Amino acid sequence: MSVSNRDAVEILDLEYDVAAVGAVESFASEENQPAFYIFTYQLPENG
Amino acid sequence: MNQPIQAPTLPPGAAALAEAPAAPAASALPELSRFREAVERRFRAESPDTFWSLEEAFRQLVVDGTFAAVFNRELRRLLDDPCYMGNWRANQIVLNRGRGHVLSIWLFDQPRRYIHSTPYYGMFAPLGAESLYYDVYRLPENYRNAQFDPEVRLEPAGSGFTAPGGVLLLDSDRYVYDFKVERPLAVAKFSSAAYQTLEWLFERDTLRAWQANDSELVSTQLRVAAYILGRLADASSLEALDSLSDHRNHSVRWAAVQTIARLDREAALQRLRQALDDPHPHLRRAAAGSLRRLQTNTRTTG
Repeated sequence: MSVSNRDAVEILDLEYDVAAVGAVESFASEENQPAFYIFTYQLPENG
Repeated sequence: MNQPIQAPTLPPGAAALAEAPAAPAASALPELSRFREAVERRFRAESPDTFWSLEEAFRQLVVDGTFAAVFNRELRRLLDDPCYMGNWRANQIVLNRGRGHVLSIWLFDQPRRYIHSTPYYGMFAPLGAESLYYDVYRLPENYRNAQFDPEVRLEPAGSGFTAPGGVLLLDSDRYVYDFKVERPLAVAKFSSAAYQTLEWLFERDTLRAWQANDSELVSTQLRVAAYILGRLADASSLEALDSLSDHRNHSVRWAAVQTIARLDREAALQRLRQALDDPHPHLRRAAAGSLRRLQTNTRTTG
């Protein structure tokens, strides 16, 4: 693997995060997804 | 039956709808087969408003007693074959699923902490002897689905109920529904895929917007993939990330730009400058703020 990181920079987050589908409590959206799944998607930034 | 609102007024256009394999859980039952045929004949995923042409077909399912037959059969299968899984989840079973639509039965069994918007079209029918009770809230004028704003506040718009045999048509463009769950209630649901970008959650005590979630799994997956690529920091990812920075959802676009910034400063600066003209205001502000900060850092360190 060729690690690049050519002068990497940190840029701002959006003023309001968008959370993962079904975050906090699943209800509205999950049944409409192309495949059923267990909610395990959680970005570290979102806690 | 008392429904305080009119049938939905539908917006033109909709989010892309994902390909989905049909779920054959119970579709061999004649009533469900007829329903599925009606869906295939009338519903077009590219024109989500065709969803409403299936109201009578759904009402027919409710009055036919189809759902008892479904559970009779499922119960037999579960007893006969310990390995049978069907199309069950913890509190629901899917009866039919195709591109851009799903028919399911849910057990509403516990109250929710937040009030959720519904980023899809839906028809709900209570099953059994009890009604489906709900409070209704109007989405205010300053509500823009794709632009989360914690200042947005729901406006109470009354309460209603749908009696057994009735069907509630969700007017999700204008209203948010808060279903009351005092006892577990089985509800038949026919719904479209998400046509709005975000699902909003509102606080019960203040009615203010509290959080927005992706309405589509693919948006979450793409952000997770971008995040991981940022940690891998492999130069080969730049091309894929560049494509991602044109995605239709703003949070995905920004995740791509943030990840590019972890790989290549010059590529990031180029994308940030382009983002100053992005259609989404949050993204434009984040790009402008980032460029200001980078220029300040350059002056300080240079």
